[in-house]
Amino acid sequence: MSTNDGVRNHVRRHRRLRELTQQDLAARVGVTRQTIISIEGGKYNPSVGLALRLAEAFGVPVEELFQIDRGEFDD
Amino acid sequence: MTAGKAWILLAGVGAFVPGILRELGVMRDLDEFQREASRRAAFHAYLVGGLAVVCIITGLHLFGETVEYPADMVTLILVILWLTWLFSYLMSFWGAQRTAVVVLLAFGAFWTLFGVLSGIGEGGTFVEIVVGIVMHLIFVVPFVLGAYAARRRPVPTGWFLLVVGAFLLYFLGRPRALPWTTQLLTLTSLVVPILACGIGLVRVKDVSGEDA
Repeated sequence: MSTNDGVRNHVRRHRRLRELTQQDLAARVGVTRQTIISIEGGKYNPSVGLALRLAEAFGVPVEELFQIDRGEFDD
Repeated sequence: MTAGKAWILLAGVGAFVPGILRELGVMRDLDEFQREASRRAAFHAYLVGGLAVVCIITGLHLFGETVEYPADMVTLILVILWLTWLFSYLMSFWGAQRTAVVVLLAFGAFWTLFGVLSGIGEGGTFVEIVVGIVMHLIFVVPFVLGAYAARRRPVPTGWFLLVVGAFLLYFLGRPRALPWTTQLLTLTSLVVPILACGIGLVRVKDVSGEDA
């Protein structure tokens, strides 16, 4: 799980569950591997379009991949 | 040293035309993360370049200096803009460690080429040429060591690069019989990349697990 700007994502977990490499996933959604690395590392929040493509690639709803990190706001 | 008009034109085209083509939608070679990194880098270049120009103009007025070689001045501003853009982009895209490795290896390769050509150019017997080349290549060692250590021990390597940068700043920044624009251009081209890598590495918090 990675967090960036109050948004956490589970891209790495879903990718590993499906035994995909970062390069495979990048090719599926039409970005560079470096973009996948940055998303998984929580350094970059993708656009809505890319988030939807990632969700489609994994066959899950987008909110399963990206969630608001409540922990940052609940204190 | 003066920069030729053709060189400046070529550098200008290389630095700015791809960006213009991307903004016009003619060139679509970047994905969204790269586009964002590129735009953020452009903003950084605007800030640093603007500040540099203001400092240069203020310095000219303050010290009553004149620009002996206008082409050097233009080149200097281009180098500041482009280096800032490049470093900001690479740091966003690759992160500090990989950027440092690439920059240090590029410096090492450049210095190796310079050392070999310089050693051959100095002439003498075969043994003298080989010794000359080896002496030049000693300067490559810190860059290669830095590139090796940047991945494994980023923070100490960063401090090491800051020390090397400060030494070069002192060594190359001393008053010389060169136009100040030329000296500033040399300093910017040689020292800024090393200092930028040093600062980037010092700020690395953890070694990220980039898996395939």
